[in-house]
Amino acid sequence: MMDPAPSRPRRSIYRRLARAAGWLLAGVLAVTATLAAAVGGLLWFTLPASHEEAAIPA
Amino acid sequence: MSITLDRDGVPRIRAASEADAAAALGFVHARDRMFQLELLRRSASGRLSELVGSRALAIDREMRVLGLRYRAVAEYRSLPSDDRVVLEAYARGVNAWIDAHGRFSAPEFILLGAPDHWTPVDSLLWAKTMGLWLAGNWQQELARLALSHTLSPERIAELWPGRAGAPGALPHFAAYQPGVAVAAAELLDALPHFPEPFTLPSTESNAWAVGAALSATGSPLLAGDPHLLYTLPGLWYLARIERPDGVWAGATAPGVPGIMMGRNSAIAWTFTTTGADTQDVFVETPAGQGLYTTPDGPRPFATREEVIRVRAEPDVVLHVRETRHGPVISDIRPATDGALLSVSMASLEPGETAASGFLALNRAHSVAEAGAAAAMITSPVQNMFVADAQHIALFTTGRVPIRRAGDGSAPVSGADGLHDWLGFASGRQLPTILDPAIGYVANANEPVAPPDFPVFVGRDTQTSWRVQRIDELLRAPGKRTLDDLARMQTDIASAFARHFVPVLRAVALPEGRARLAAAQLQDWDGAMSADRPAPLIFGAWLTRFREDVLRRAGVPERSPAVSQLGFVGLLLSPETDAAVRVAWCGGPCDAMLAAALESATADLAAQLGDDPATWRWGAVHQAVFSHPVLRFIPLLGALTEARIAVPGDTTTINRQEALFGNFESVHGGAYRGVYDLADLDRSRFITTPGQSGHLLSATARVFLQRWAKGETIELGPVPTAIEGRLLLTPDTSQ
Repeated sequence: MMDPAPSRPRRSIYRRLARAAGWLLAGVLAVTATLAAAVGGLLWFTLPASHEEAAIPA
Repeated sequence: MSITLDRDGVPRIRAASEADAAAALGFVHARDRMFQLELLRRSASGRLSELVGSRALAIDREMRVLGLRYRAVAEYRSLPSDDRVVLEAYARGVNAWIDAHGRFSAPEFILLGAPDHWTPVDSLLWAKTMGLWLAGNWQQELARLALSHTLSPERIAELWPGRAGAPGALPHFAAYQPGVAVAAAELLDALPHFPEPFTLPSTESNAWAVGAALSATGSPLLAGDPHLLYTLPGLWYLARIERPDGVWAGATAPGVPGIMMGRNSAIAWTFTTTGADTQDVFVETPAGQGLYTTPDGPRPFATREEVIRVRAEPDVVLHVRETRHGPVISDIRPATDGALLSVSMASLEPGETAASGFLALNRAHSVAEAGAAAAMITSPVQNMFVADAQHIALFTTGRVPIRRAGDGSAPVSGADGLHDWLGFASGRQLPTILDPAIGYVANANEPVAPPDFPVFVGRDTQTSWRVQRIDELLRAPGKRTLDDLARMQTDIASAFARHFVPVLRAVALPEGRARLAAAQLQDWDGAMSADRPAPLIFGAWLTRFREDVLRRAGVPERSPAVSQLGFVGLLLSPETDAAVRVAWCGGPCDAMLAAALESATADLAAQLGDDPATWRWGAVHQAVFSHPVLRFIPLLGALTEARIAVPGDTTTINRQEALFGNFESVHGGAYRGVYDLADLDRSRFITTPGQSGHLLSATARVFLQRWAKGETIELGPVPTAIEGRLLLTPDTSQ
């Protein structure tokens, strides 16, 4: 009688799932951080300068 | 022109002339509030749908039908050249900012593109908007008409008790076809209501002027705090302006080239709203295609076409009609069937000189000159408090209609001419008080005119609970200081609560949570403290009672026909006829009061825990300042709001008005000013939440904590620290 083929350990599936979730989370975080940095940068750019000179039509 | 900015972001403007100062103010308004300016002109012009799509269509239709911008254009043409110069200079200041920054004029424009140039007509829209916000009688009239198919005129009148001794009674609505009441209800539903954008709950305010004899300085003192919607950024913007001919300081309103409430070198001024009835709804009679009935026979409507552009949707074309009374408001509804309703509004009538009056007030050198300016401010109808070094006074701004008949409290037939307006009362024909013998003059929106005053100002008056407390404090022995006045502005004693808590204590309650809650009222002095349970229990109890009574009668809880305090006061007052309570409560109101406390405390327990002794007013009563547009976007709304626990309620001098069924305060005294006529540079100010409209700015919420604590700042010539400098030079090349 042959021994049954050893089944893949179940935990490896969990490990792969966890790894995929990790990558997904990292991706989401990276995109979010990039977007937040872009939006924050744009907002920062629109903050009025505390020192400014301007010409007003007479 | 040079501008220094202190650490709070308050500008101190130095300019050589009135026009230069206006240009500099326009520049700093644009710098800090450009998107607010954009929303102001778009909302008043009926152009919000271009920005936000069809969800703003209701407000756009309303504004186009009422024709605020259409009328502002005509008014600008009739302004004196001196005043036009100031408005044009202000527009140049705003446009200098726009030209320099384009779509980076404010964060919101990054997506929207650079704003259009500001025009002098845009500035006139602020007064037009206030003329509409500070006079809401037309909606009360519509609400009464809408209720007329379910309630008798007597019951409708009780929803907003009139003054004892005042003339007039609600008309019997039976004269109208049943469809008219339905049309009024449908129109009311179609109108945007608070908390939708660019709408307001009731508008109120406090002010008092103390004469020299009662003042510790030997010169008059003045205090004022208008109550309007809380927004982020706020409606007000502090500024100090220095010119060779004087100094101005106080609350400015972005869009307007001057000080709205504040001081110049000789006088200080502030306003309270009067609740004057300056709007009448008429039920018109159609007389064939394009015609309506008048006492002189059929007459054609005046018409114009308005095109509303809607973001991502086809344009909406409005065929606006006007009768001899004013705009056909039934056209605000998209459906064209039903009754023909028009409205007369004093603020929409020809002859508006509000802008000139406002500039004349800024230029006034004495109480007498301010009184002359008050007569020129044709709308809204406000009590204008003024003090100079010798005198204190109350003048009434605006125009109050004189009717052929009736009290303007409910819609009337437009065809017969019996209720037409014959003209206006204004200036000294309206209540005026100069140096009263009592030594002070105060107002918190209760009527100034006695019931037998020759001019009928309006039926629907506000209750006098806040002024009772102001009187109590001002009549106490001793002379008053500026500190006393500033402390008074944050007073949280409720004369309303003191008056009615004994009625509530007498209500029989079964054993249980409700009785435990009511026990918190036993030794309560009526102080609306944030750290006490009693104000919360009192407020929740009466709020639920009001809801229950109105629901039982089939009256919408938010109906403009219902006075917030007057109706509840009527039901609780021992002097009220028992038949009134039977009509509304089905007997003495005690059973409904007991049931209301039972259900209100059940809700509070679910939120705050079982023990009423641990509940705190401040846990739920927070002042909330929201962005007028971003507040509707999930997550972003929460990120762009400011909130802080506050004491007080609708009945306290430190007035905080909550939404129906919710204790968040969304309306109150976002600006407070106290003025010392012995040395006007010692005058003190606060606004909230801050100066900048840029949500990342350090000054966007800079006053929030100080305002909540009742603190104030001076706007003297030298700031405590200079954080910025702006230099504006005239460009003669353009």
